[in-house]
Amino acid sequence: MASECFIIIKRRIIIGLSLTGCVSIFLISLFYQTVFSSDVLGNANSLKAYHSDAELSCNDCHTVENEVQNIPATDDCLECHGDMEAVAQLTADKDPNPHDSPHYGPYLDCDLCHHEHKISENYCGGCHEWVSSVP
Amino acid sequence: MKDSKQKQFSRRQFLKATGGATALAGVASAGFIMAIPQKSFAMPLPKKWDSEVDVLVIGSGFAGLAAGIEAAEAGAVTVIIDKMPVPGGNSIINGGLVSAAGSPKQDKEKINDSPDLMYKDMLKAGLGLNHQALARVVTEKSNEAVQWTIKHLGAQYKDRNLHLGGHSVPRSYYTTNSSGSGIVRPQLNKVKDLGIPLKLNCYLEQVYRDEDGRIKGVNVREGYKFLKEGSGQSISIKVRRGVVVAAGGFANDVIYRKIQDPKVDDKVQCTNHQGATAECLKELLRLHANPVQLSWIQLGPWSCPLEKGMGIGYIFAINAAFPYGIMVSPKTGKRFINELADRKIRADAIINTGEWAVGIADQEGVKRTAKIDKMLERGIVKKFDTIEALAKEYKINVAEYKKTIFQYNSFVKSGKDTEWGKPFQSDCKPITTPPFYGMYLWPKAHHTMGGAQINTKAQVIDLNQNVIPGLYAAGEITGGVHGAVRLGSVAITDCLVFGRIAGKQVAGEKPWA
Repeated sequence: MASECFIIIKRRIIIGLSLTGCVSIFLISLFYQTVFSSDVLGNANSLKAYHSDAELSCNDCHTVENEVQNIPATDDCLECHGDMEAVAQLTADKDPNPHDSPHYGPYLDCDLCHHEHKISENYCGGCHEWVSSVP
Repeated sequence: MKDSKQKQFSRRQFLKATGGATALAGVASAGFIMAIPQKSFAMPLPKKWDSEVDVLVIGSGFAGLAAGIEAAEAGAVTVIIDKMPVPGGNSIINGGLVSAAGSPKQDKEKINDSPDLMYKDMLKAGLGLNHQALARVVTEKSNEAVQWTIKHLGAQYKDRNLHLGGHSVPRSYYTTNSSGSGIVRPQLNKVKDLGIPLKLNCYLEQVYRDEDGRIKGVNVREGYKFLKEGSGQSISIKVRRGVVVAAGGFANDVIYRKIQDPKVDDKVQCTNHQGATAECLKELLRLHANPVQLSWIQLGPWSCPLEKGMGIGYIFAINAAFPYGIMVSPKTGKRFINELADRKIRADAIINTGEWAVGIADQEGVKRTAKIDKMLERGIVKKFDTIEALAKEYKINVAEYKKTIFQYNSFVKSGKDTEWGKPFQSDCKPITTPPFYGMYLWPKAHHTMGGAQINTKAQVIDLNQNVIPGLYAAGEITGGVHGAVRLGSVAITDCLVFGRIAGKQVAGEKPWA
């Protein structure tokens, strides 16, 4: 009898633990999805350090009124960053220079690699291995 | 062309006037052999078009840009679209070699060449599968096309002609920046100067071919994100004169290429850009374009599976391992092919061994190889003090492998490869000088020879060998020019020649409305 009770209790503990496990896995995955998913990255209001340090607001990039979703065009970026040749000069010491491709020259859209509200990517990585961290 | 239109017209009238069964009997007796019902391609036209152009070009590589430039210069209101977020497709990442027969550069170097000799070279490599009239046009207009890139676009080339495999004489111009971008960027500048809109991220959904057989317009998705199906916004464009499909090959479309050649499966990597897929070709087929030789998919035998795309390992293969070393299969430790055979023969041989081959050269062999330090640094090529250490790394059957090297060295000394018939260059030496270099080799899909059938005016030909009115194609999406095996540097020539022809021809089409 005592041993039967013990087994039942043990089962309940196991079930309880499993439930807790499931719930916590769910919560952890939810947390990761929210924070790290490249499409969500938590809050759309987050800015990368270099832009928040420059005290930019939403409207500095999203120039069309009431259209927060509109994706800024490369020309919007260049308002502050100068023309494409000038941007290429900033990284002229790098080999290869990510802003002056042998194929496309300096004329690629910024958002092929640089994202503000999600993790940036390396467009060149589609064909080339060399890894370059993209801010 | 006039004839075929009349045929179509009379047949349609006939079908309208009679019942289906009698029509079929009538068709048969009138000498139409198993004609495909023409109307199955037809779609109802939009009641209202969102926009309107004379000429729509699909694709912004060598061929598409050449077509766009010619059409606009002939006065047609032209728009070029490309589904990718960057222009130039494969062309802008290509190696920048373009052949011209009878060029001024050849005159300067006293090289005796002619379109006829280039034609013979193409047919030899192409195993005679080439559509001869198309190959003739490419060779006859090759020099004109290259001079056009110089005089009209401002492209720049290195001083000397290059002599590439399969060509009888040196006839390849090489862009100054060693890339196809040396031609594409001047093309893009011209497109800009002419005010031709080039819409990137613009995906072709559907071409409208009307019941009368003519091409009338397209549906495209603007703001399309590559690989995100259904992204962007669908709009219709009325196309008054014609559509030029210059959307490139399908070497990077694993599913489709595997259907055409099951050997080219997902284990085979690709030298192409990511957008080299088959959807535009499939749309042409839906419109009843006739497919030609889709199974001939060229693999490059010089590529290393440890790096993406074209990479740099091929430089070791073509400069060291193939001419001055050997290629063995690890399982057997033996050579299995002439390391200097044509691309197709070598690539097939590697695949048939069922495992990555190993290219091997000694210190003597790598003397002429550029970027060897970079290859070692990236681990693509590895260096060993002894041949045994190399064998251990690549898990090569060491007993057989030692015999292989011993035998190969005796061939080099005697000047004759009695096993595989590799031609030895005069400075070829036995493999004896350490350190020894090794690299894995596994072919990568490089060029799809097959595609839609065109005639010498770049008009797309249907299943019944009639012209599809208002539909043109040029470049890698077409089939027949190269036959079984394309010679290096003839792809650009093909694209420029037929791109320009398509542009001129489509601009001369009578608008349908």
